[in-house]
Amino acid sequence: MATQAISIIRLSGEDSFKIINRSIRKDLNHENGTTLRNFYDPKGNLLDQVFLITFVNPNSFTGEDVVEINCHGGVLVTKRILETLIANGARMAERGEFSKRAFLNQKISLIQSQGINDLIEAKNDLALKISAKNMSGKTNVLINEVKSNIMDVISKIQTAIDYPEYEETDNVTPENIKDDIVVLHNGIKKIIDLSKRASFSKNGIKTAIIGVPNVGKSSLLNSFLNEDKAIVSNEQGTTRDIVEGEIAFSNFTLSLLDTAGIRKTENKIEQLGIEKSLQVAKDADLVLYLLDVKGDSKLIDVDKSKTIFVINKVDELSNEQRKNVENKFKEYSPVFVSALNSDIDSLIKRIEDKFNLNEIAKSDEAILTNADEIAKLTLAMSKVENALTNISNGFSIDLINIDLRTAFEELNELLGFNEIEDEILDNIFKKYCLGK
Amino acid sequence: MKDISADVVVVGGGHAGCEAAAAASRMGAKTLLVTHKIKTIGIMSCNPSFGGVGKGHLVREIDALDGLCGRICDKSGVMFRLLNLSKGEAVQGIRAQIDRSLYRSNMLSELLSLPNLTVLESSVESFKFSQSGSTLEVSGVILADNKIISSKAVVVTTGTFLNGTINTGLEIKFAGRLNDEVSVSLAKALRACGFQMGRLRTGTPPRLNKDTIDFSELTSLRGDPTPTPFSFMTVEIPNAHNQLPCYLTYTNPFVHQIIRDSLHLNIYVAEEIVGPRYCPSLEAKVLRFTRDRHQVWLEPEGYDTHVIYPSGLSMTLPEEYQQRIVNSIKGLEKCEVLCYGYGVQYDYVDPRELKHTLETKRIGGLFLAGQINGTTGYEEAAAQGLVAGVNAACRVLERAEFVVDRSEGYIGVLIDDLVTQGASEPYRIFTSRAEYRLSLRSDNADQRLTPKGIAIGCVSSARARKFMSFSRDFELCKQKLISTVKNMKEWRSLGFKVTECASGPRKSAWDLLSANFHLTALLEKLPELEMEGISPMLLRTLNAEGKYAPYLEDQRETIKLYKKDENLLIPPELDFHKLVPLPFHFYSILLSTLIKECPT
Repeated sequence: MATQAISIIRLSGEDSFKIINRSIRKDLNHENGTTLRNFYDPKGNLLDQVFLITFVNPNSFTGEDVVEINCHGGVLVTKRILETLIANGARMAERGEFSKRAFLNQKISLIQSQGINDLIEAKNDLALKISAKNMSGKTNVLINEVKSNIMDVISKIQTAIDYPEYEETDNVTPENIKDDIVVLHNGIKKIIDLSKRASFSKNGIKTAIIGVPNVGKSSLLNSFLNEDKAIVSNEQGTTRDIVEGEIAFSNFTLSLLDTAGIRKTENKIEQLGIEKSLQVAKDADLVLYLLDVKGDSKLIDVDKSKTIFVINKVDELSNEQRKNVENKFKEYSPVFVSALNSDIDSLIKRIEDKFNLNEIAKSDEAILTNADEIAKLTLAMSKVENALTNISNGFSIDLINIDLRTAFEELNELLGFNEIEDEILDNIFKKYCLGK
Repeated sequence: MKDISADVVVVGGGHAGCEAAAAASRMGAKTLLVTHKIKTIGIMSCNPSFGGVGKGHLVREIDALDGLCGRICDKSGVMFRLLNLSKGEAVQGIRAQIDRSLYRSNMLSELLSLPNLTVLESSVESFKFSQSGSTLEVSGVILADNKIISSKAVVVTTGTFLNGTINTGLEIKFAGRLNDEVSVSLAKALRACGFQMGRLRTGTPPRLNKDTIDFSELTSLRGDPTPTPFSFMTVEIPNAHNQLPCYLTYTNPFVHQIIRDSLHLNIYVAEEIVGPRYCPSLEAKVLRFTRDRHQVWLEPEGYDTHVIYPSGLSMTLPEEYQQRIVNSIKGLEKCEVLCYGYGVQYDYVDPRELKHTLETKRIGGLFLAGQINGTTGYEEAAAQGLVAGVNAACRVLERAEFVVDRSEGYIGVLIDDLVTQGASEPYRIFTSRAEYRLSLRSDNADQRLTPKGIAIGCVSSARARKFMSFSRDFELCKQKLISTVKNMKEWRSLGFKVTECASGPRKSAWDLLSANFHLTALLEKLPELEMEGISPMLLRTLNAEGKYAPYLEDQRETIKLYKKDENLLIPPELDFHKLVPLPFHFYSILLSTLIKECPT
């Protein structure tokens, strides 16, 4: 706790009004409103003048009765008010408990509550944008659309099953619903693809910088970090340990892993460093491979799909030299930077393009950021794929339905709902005119 | 008649009452069935058909527990169809058109042949209670003539008769069914017990004179040439070669206009009482959906009758409007209406008052089954009747409770839904209500339930013997299929285009079933299996079990997890309000499923 202009203490639960009334002289009305009152400790000593905002269930964030106490921001006064509330029957909220109650009282969905957490933790603008979208419920709407599409296909199948002689679902065969299922599949796949890429915005792109010694890895790292975390010196082999640093750009966060220079060496300690560097490159999401303009064009083996080749010290090259270098490394289409002059914009642009981050920033699609959420959606997709395979193998529609329903359940779990039967029956009777 | 006693008294002779009485007597309890009119025992008050998808599954399950309706249907059916033939074994169900009068007489003679069962024509007005410790128990029933029948268990199956009213147009009268008296005092007695009660409604269409219908332009629907019986015990369906057709016609915009123009003459539509989404009136269909036509099936009511049941025309309009609607439909232009459609409203008890045995939580020994619990349909009623009857006998004979789990049968799904969710509208079974529907097939109803029935004592020895021998054959054949293993090349040379899969390059004949090759094709190519000549029933079950095997395996895992949660006992002293935080609506669910205190 630190001294602030004001402190806000939130009381939530069915006793909120009862508890606050013990510390003020005239009971609050059980209604939404704002009031200025004197606040007294249990012995009747005046502690502060507080501004109270009241919310009556279910019209509050948690869905319960809530009183928010705005008091002066001193550490001691805030502490005493808290103590008074606890003495009068309150307890400290657990971490995330308000959101948890809001979820349990169906004020927010799981995705929304995850969004709140992400919003607080957001490290860059894209992460902020995605979490705001998730918190506001926009992503819910989009996932709900996918869900309602699955529900429509299931309803169609189940109507055909439960009302075999009903004219509207006469022609529901596995072949006839295949197109609907393909559309479903593509919809889910798109969300997963985007989400996986967007997760870099939240979790950071694990980036390994590799290259021969003294090619400028540490100075590149430093120009990213804007501080001297790694040692920069002209003597070969000064960086042996892997230095981690994190830096937020507007659309992404790089988790930078520095690596010792890669070269043949007799030095055992350095040898270890090199092996480790190669291992790091293997684990990284992105490899920035610094090319040595003086060295030959034969490089060590790296996964090109996740590698950006970089030529540093472009400031030291004449125009002619630069042309020669461009020619020499043409197959790697390298980016030219000058780490020492902090001229790295072209590299940042290249990283954004590689991860399609601008596209994600502009996208209106649903994006999930939590690995668990993405896993649920991935499982849903695999079930939809099963259904498609079963259709190709000529299986009957009762079996197709099973996989679709499992997919549906996964989506419900993602959204935090679980009354599947009623939902589908409601949909069936809304859509189809059935009966004797 | 002097005061008498019975182990189990069943009140009502509808589909729930018949099964309850028969089940209790099969169990060996001395049983008395009390009904207003003996001649309406087993009457089918509404549609002249049994079974269907989901409902057909229920009939099979009732039969697996040696209940009556499957066998009576096989004897009394006039048209049989196996539905969903192309949609997979799990969702196939039998539906049959039934000769109403044959059903009634077959049911009555079946009941009268049961050793422990007596049928009494009278009216039960209220109950006798006794206090046992802190709980109230039923100790008998009081008849209209004030006679008392003492009994340790009572099963109430009064259908739509509790405070029943029927209405046509703006007219309302007290009745449980057209021309049948209503149970007012029994409704009062149940209310006095403190049960939560509500009101539901249903309806029935007009009945038509077959001789005045022009079928020539209508599509006909015929029964299966080789009908599949409901009962595992039925060897032959007597009317297999003498089946009657159904016909299809449609409503039209003109009909819909008549309905819209006459809404002011129609109480049923105006009232707020919860109506069944599952069998809506024609009025409801026209108001809820913008469609040019709705299907109307013209169903025969039997051999010796000229009555036709127009399924889809349930309505409560004044009579002259019903007549106009009927005559506006193709094929029915000159049709005579024999009796008009009407709506029924009746009291029901909130089924959350019940345990899974269908015994009420408030009063020991008092069981409720059928429409009184908020369900609709003969099959739903019969299923509950059987479970209530068995449990009433268990109580008297001091045997363990008989509960069918959701994972064991549609009966379990039905009862579990009722006693945990309640019924805000008449409840009907659907395959979509069952989580484990690949294992809850109609072909394996006996495999699922007959052993349970044998264990509790409601299955006759003849059925038990037949079941054992079928199960032996099934296992034998399954083992043969599992032990017949070939490599991919060999299977391909036999004409089975198998693809590589997780189970490796060698596959058994059983594996091939789960790759969607049919058992018939396998038997043809593999004479060494020596399985030719197995019964169609065995073939179906083997094929289905093999086909769904990987999915059934997954389901067994899910069931294990669900059972773990399901079997978690909530200690009665637990204060839910202290479980912070719980969503608001969870409190009421938890509280309402707890056993309530008994009234004093």
